[in-house]
Amino acid sequence: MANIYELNQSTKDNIGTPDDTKSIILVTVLPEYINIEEGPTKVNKKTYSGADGFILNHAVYGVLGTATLGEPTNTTTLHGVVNPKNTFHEHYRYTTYNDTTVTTGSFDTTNFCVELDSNEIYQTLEIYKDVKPIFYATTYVDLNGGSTTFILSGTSKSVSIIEGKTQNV
Amino acid sequence: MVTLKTCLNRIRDLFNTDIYKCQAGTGTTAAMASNTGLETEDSNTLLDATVVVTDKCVQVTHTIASTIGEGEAYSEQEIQINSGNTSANRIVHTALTKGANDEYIYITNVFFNSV
Repeated sequence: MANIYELNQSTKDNIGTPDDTKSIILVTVLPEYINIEEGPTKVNKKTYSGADGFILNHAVYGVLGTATLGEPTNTTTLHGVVNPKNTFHEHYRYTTYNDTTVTTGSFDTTNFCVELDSNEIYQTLEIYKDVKPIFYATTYVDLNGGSTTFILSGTSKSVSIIEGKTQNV
Repeated sequence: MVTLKTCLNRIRDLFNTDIYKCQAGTGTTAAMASNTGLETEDSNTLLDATVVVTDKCVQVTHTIASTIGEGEAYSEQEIQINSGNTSANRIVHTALTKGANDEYIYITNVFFNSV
């Protein structure tokens, strides 16, 4: 049987010591790495306002006899999203960065993908903020016919993906 | 050979059970892999984390209540493991000065993959 790895072997001519390297079975090592990946960190600021609600030990919201029970009225704002190595990698494990007000596709945390039918949209929330700008985006698409378009919000950048073609923007 | 998902989830569980607390600080130098912890930690922010475990990942949420750290300009944060003796990560962001009515929430995802 031919050795499929024989191209990687060095051989000698048959003058002198017989060539026995052909009989050596080389085992190719197929390494598999276990990767622990620190994902993005979202930094949110929740600011309490109004006169309602109770917070234990709080100077304003913790006054017994004055404060009412329940969480005070509040507003949450995004301060930043920190991406290790300036790379945002959406694994579709959590919906943390899915903009549910826009996305009409199915965000699937079981199969780790977004399933988009015709004219459906997937939009993320802010995936870069505060520290580093976004330089480029890479998307992986299993496309079953037709085409789809990716748009980077706030820029003029977009790319249309057509089945069977590789395109960059 | 292929690394099984059960193995990855086992590693995830070991990491999860090793999570001690999270902490924030006021250091501003860029995060590097050689860091051993925060640059200037604020021990008031050393708090239990809320951890959500799903397939091959954990999500760690660190909440600094409005009653903690008023006036501090927080700019770095970490997850501590190994009973607090080891910092698992460090992130740095522009400083955010905490008001009396502000609550800060850090949400970090950690993934366990085979490649």
